[in-house]
Amino acid sequence: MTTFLFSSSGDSDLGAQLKRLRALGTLQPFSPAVTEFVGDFSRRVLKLPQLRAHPELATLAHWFRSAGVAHLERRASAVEGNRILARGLVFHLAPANVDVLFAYAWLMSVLSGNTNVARLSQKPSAQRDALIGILGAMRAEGLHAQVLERTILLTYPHDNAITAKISSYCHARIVWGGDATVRTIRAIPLPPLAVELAFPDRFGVAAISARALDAVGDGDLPSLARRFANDVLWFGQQACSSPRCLYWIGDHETIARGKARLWRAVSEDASRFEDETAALMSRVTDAHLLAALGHASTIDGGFSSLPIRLQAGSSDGEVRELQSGNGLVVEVELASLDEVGAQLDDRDQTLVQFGFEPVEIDALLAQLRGRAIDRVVPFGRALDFHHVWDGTDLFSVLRRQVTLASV
Amino acid sequence: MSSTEAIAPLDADVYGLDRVSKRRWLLGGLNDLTQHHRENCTEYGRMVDSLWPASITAPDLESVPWLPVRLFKMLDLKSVPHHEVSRTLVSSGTTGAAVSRIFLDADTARSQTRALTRIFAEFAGNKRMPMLVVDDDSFLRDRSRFNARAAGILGFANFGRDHKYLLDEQLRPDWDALEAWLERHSDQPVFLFGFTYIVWQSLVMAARHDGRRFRLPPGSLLVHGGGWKKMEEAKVDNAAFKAALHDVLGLERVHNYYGMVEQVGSVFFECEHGHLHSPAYADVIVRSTDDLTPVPHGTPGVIQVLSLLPRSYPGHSLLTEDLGVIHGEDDCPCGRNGKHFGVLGRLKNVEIRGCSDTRTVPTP
Repeated sequence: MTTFLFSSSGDSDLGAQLKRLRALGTLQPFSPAVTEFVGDFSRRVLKLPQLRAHPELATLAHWFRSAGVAHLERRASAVEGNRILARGLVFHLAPANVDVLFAYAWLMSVLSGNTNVARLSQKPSAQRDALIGILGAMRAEGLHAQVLERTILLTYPHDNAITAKISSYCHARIVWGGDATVRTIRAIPLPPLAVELAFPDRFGVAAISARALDAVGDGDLPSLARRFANDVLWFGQQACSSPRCLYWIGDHETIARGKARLWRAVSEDASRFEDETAALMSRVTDAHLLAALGHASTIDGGFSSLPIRLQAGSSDGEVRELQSGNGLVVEVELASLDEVGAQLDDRDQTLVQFGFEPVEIDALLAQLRGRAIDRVVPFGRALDFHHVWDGTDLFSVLRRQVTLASV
Repeated sequence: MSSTEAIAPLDADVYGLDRVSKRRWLLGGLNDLTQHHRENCTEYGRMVDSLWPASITAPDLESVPWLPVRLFKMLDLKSVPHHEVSRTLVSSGTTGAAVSRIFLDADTARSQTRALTRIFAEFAGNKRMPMLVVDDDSFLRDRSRFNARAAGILGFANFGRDHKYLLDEQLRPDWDALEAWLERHSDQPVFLFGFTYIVWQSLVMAARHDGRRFRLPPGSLLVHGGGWKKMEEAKVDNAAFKAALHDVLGLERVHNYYGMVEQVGSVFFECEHGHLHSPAYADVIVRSTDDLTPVPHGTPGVIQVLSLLPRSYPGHSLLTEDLGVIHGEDDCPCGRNGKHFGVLGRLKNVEIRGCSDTRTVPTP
């Protein structure tokens, strides 16, 4: 059964709503109607009472502030001489958790001028309620009618018939979710001209140069450790880009010194992360699972340290697949960064790095096979959003270019 | 070690050992088991060698390596060759959830039966009583479903005779059949067994709904277990549960038990004072919910269970996902030695389990 969480029309018939959206057509990308809506939306997010408990909402609002939108507009410029139009009707399928990731793609789609239908998860969450509340308030105040009438947020239990019906109207479908969800939705037909973008399960890894860490003074270490702790521990280490493995690059002696310094600094900082006993039980279970299967040779710091640190000779996507997050890092020592390449595969999305020269990173990228690594970011930026996500520029899907030939 | 030595732990007085002798005796036995499983179960060997190197010979009970109980859902852990497995126990879980698989050989299965017999005799004597099972008997016809529920019922069924299963497959009681059965056994105590929430819904609440009351013969007793989560949701505590049983059935003797399919032999019975008791060959340690270090008596924490019986699989020391509190040791007013404790429920946000909490029970 479909539940409309937000729609400017009271019509309970899904088909009628979809026909209405299609008849409305699109808006101009980055036209005042859409940028004013996005600006107002992020201002309202910053005033939410839930903001304190959900820092990711503040990050979202910051990303879509006026300067951020202006920056996006410059980035999204067309090939010289071409004209840009909206893609059309975009169907978003949000993930079961981390709703806020979907909000980035949805707001970018609004900026691109599209009409949007979004299926949100069945489970109410602070983010979900905040989103719906803001749209409701805007409608009550009579603002942003052009965007609001092109916006439908709904939810329904997993139902291929409903997904198929909405899909039959869309020009682009964006799927966030686990591999199984992506597989199920992939099998549901799209109109011949529609495009699809899927964001399945991916993993993050980190690499650190032991020599570069040695050069970091004790005064600067806490801030580096803090950025790394954010990368690893925010969202319970459940985000696609949360590092699950840390590759130490250097000689054993320098690495040993680096480990002692970095982890001491992280442990002095880790108390600010909420840690449930259920998460503790999960990482303790994972530690035993990895050890039982021969993926860990020793443990450093015992079961009470956050994160739990297992030492291993190597660690690849198979191991990351077994890890449930919740604060467990596998540490591997290697002599040079390009050796990491052999332990990466399609499932690895983000490399969080500290202390490497561009030439070293290029040497690693040249080693990669298949789809391994779509992002390389410094410590502290693992969870940042970028309009190029999983290797694809979202704007290339959310908008289309009209080639304009003069001769 | 021969099979007779394997069941030697059961020769100890079930509730007779004092703290000092129990700790010494348990530690020796548990260290032997750690070594035994390390040599005979590859996965267990890797776990203790990489995560517990200083605890392979533990200096005290608190240092004995433990395995998180959820691991038995992820790995098939056994310390005997496959052809020696005589029975595979499967834990109860909500539909669709992964289940634990526990591998017993003949020796371990036998020591489990003997352990339960000795504990039960301490509370109910050695005489077999007419037995009323507050459940349905469909599992008897389908032995492929040898799950924790069947294991629980059959384990206790050994202590009764002239068994009567009260419920049909929809877990509805047959009152007329119960009356007829009670008439046949009106002159002697009867033994009732069931899972807590099923006893509550399908016996107590159903009787109230149908306006039925029964007077069980004096000295009759109920043994029940399987988890309190649904009872908590229904806002029924142990005192209210006992009062209702007294009201509807005239029952005076009600004993809860705590135990899990993953650790054979660890059956912790509730005494007359409402405390759960460790038998001689098993023990509990309560650990901090923050860092898993042992906490003093009286402080709630995560329950770890220890048992000398699991030889065919590495389950002699397990970290559960239940919260509990130790009331004391060798000082329960009931006079039984060993630690006495209470279970405070499941940790927040972990999976639901237990025979009482994972079944769909109709509301009368």
